[in-house]
Amino acid sequence: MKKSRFNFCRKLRSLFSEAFLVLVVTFFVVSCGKLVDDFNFDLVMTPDWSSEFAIPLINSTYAIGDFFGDSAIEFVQTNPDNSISLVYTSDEMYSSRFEDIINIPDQFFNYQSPFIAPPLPPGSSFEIMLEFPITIGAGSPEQRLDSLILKNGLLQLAGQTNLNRDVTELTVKIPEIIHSATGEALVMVVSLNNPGGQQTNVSYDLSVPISDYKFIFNNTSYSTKNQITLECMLKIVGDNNPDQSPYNFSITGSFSDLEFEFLFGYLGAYNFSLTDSLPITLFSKTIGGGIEVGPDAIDLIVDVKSSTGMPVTFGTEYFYAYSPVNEPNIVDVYFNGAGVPNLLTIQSPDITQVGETVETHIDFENNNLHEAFNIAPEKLFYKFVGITNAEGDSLSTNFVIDTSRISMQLAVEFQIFASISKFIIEDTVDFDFDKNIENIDHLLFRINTTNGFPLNASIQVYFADKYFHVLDSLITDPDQTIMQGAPVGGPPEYRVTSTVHKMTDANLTSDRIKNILDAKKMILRAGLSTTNEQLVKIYSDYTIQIQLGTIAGIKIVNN
Amino acid sequence: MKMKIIYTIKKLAIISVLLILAMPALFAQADRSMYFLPILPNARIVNPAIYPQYKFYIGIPFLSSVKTGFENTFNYEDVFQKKGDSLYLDREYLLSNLDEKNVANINLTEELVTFGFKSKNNYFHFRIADIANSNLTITKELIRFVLYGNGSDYYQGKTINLGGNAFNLTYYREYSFGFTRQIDQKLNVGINLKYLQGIANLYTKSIDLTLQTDPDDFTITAKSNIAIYSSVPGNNGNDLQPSEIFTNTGNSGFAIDLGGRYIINEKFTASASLLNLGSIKWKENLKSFKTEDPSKAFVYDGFNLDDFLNDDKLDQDKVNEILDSIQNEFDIIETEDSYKSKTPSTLVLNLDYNLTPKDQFGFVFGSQFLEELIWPSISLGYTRKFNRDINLMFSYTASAQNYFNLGVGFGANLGPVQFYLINENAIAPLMFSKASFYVLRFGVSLVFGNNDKKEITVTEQTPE
Repeated sequence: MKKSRFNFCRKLRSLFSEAFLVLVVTFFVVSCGKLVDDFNFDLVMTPDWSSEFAIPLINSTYAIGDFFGDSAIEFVQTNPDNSISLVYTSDEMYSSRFEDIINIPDQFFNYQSPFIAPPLPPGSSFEIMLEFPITIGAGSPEQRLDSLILKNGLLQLAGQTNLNRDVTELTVKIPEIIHSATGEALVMVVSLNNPGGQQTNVSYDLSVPISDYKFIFNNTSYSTKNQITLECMLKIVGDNNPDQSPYNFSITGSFSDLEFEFLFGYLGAYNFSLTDSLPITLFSKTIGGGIEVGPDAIDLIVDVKSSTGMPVTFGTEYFYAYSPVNEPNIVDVYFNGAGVPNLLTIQSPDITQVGETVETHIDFENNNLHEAFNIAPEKLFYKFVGITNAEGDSLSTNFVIDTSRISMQLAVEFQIFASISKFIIEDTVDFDFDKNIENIDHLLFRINTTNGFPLNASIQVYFADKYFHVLDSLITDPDQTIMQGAPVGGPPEYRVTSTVHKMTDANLTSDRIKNILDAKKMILRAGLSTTNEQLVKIYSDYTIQIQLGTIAGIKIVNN
Repeated sequence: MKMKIIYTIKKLAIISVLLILAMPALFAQADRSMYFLPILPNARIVNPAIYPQYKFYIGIPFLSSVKTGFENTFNYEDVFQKKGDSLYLDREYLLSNLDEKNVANINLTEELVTFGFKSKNNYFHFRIADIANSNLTITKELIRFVLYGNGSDYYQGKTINLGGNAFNLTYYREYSFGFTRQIDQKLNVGINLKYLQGIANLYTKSIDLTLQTDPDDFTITAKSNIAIYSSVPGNNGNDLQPSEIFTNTGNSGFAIDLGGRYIINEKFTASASLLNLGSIKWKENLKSFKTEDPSKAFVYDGFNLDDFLNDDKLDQDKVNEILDSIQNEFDIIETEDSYKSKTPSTLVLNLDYNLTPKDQFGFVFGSQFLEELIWPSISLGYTRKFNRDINLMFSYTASAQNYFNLGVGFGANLGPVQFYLINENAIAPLMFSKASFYVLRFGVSLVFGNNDKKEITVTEQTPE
C-alpha cells in the first residue's frame, strides 16, 4: 500500500513537473509577444492638443545711440540741450601735391655767337666773355619766380667752336644758380684745345646734376621775369697758329627733370578738383515715404587744410542730394541759400608759415539741406573746384612746397528735428529656419514695446526663398502698429511727455511654419511715422524697451 | 493562544492595509516571497536568522540569484488609452489616473558569488552581489506642467509648484559575511555584515521649484531649492572605461542585517528582520548641484539681443554662455562635495502557520525606509511542500496602488542542483500594459546535505 502510494506520488510529481515546465515555457513565449504588442509606441496617435510653453526671448532697451553705431562716417552727437544730432562726416578729400600741379617743364636754349680773337704771341693770353640770357617758365605769363629750390634737375650743355688755338679754356658760370650748401654759383670749366689748329671745330659736352642748387632770380635787374644768365668765358693762350677771326661759338643746352622742393614768387592760377560723395545712412534702407525736416535742423560744415602759400578759392561744379525713391530725385544744395553760387575762400599759410598747415572752418548755416533731406537722400554728391590766385594779384608773393596740398572734409549735422509720414524702410537678412520642428504645432510671438520715442512703427517680416519669392509673412495685418509713438509736447522742445506700451501677438500655425521651412531670406519692412505725423525732436534720454516672448505649442507625441 | 495570534494577525493586516492606502507614494522592494520557499538557502536574504536546511550550499556564479522588478503607482494603460488598434494620449485621462505623487521603482540584483556552510549550530555565509536601485518620484503637478505647459490657459497667472520630485539611483556591490546561530530548538538569530562598494549614485536630496509666468510678457519668476548629488564614473569628463566601473573602490560603506526567528509552536513561527541598515560615503567622481540661496528668486525676462549678436550674426558661443548664465542666475552652484547616502533599509515581519507539515500559510509585512518615504507592503502566501526537494508557492501581495498581485514560485532540487523561480505578479507578463508591479527572481545553486528529510519524516509521523 505504501509502495503504491509512493509510486502514485512520484507519477504525480513527474506530471506536475512536466506540466509546470510547459506552463512556464508557454507563459514566457506568450508574455514576450504580449510585451511587444503592449509597448508598441508607433501606435500612439498624435494628440489633438499640444503643450504650450512660454518663454521670454529678448528684453532689450535701446537709446538712440544703439540704433546708430558710430562709424567713420556717422556718429551720434548730443547737443547742449540733450537733443540728438546725427553727424555725417565725409572722407577727407586731398588735392594732388603741388609738385604735381605745378610742373616745371624742361627748359631748352640754343645760342651762337661770333667773336674775334686777336693774334696773340706765344705765352700771352686773352679772355672773351659771352653772355646768354635764359628764361625759366613754369606756368602762366603772369608768373613771377623769385626763387626755386631744386630737389632734382640736370643741366646739359654742348657746343663747338672753330677757334684754332692750341690751348683754350671755356668757363661757364650761371650766377643765379647757387649751391644750396656753399652759396657758390654754378661754374663749369672745359678745355677747347685745338693743337696746331688741325681740327675744323672743337666740340664740348657738359652734364651737371643741379639737384643741390637753387635758382635765385633777380627780377629787378632784368626786364624779363624769371631770367638767368649763362656766362661763357673763353680764355685763349697765344701761339703761332694763323689768325682766322672772326670765330664762331655755339652753345646749346637744357634744364631737364626739374623738380622743386620750394618755389617762391607769384605763381599764378592753377586749377584742381576734389570729388566725392557722402552716404546718409539714415536713409540707406528707405524705400518710400515722406520726411519734413524742421527749420535750421541741418548744418553744413566744411573744413579745409592747406599747406600751400597762396590764396585758394573753391567753387562747386555740382553739389546735390540724391534719392532713388523720392521725387524730385535730385535736389541741388546751396551753401548760402538757393541760387547763390557756392564759393568759399580758404585761409593759407603766409610767407612766415612755410611748412605749416592752416585750417579753415566754415559753417554754412543758411544752406538749403533741409530741402534736400526732404527727399530722404541716400547720398550727397559733390565736386569742388579750387583755383589759386583767383584774384590775380601779381605783386603778391606765394610759395609752395613740393608736398603742399589741400584737403577738405565735409560734415552734415542733422539735428533730428523732423516729421515723418509713412516712411518705409526695408532690409534683408539671410535666414535659415531650423528644420527640426516636427514637434512644433504652433508658435505665438508676443511683442511688448514700451516706447519713449515719438515714433509709430508697423513691422512686417516676409520669409522668402533664395530668389526672393515671398513664402509667407509673420504678421497677418501689415498695417498693425507694433510700436505706438509717445505723445509729444509743444515747441520749441517738442519733447515726449510719457512712454506708451503696446502689446502685439503674431501667430504662426503649423501650416504657416511649413511654408517658411524653405525660407532663405527674411525681409524686414517697417513703416514709420512720428506721433501724429508732427514735428518731433529726439533727445538722448529717450529709450524704447522691446520684449519678445514666445509660446511654443509642442506635440509631445508626433507619429 | 490561537485566538490571540489570529487577532494579532488581523490587527497587523488591517494596519498594513491602512498604511498602504494612506501613503500615496509607497512600494516595497523586500523579497517577500522568499519567505514562502523555505527550501531556498537564499531565503536568508530577507532574514539572516533563517537557518538553511543544507550542510553546504554554493551558488552557480552569476546565476545563483538574479532579480529584476519594478513597483510603480501607475501603469502603461494609465498613460495611454487604447481605441481599436491605436493608442491615445489624453491629458485629462492621464491626470485622472495619477496620484499627487507617483512612484516608479526599478530594482536589479545579480548575485555573483554565494556560499554557506553549517558548523554545529552555526551557519556561515558569504555573498557578493551587484545591486542597482532606482526610485523616481514624480508629482502630478510636474506631469500636468509637461502636458499643459506654462504658456497654457491653465497656468495663466498661477504659481506652479514643481517640488517634491526626486530621482535616486544607486549601483553598488555588496560583500556580505553572514552568521546564523541556532540558540535553541525554537530560536534562531542571524546577522549579515556587509561591506558596500559604491559604484554610481545619483541622489536628489531636494528638487523644489516654483515657477510663475507673467501672462503678458512671459517673464518667468522662479525659486529653487535644489540639492542633487552624484558620484558617477566619468564625471571627471574623461571617456568612461568599463574598468573604471568595477575598480571604483573609493566609495565605501557598511550595512548590517539583523534577524530573529522563533518557533512559537508546531503551527506558528514568527520572524523579524531589519535589513540594510547602513550607508555609503561617496567620495569619488563627484559632481553636485545646489541652490546657493533658496530664498532668492530668479527672474528671467529675456536676454539682451546684443548679447546674442556678433557682427549682426547669431553667435553660438554667446548663446552657450547665456545658457550657462541661467544656471548662475538660479544661483545653482556646482561642487564636488562628498556626501553620504543611506541604504534603503527594510523592516520585515513574518508569521507562518503550518496547516499541515506540507501546507504552510505565511504573512509578511515589509516596509522600506528611504529618506522621508515609507513603502510598506503585505503579502500572504501558501506553500506546498511536495517533499523535501520541491516547494511550490502562491502568494498575494498588496502594495501601493497595487492591491491584487497574485504570485507563483517554486524551488526544486534535482539532486544537488537547486532551481528556483519567483514571480510576484503572475499575470503581469500577460498584460504588462496593466502592470505596475512585477518582481521576478530566479537562480541556480548547488546544495548538499539536506537535513530536512528527517524533520518532514518526523512531522509526517506525528500529524496534528
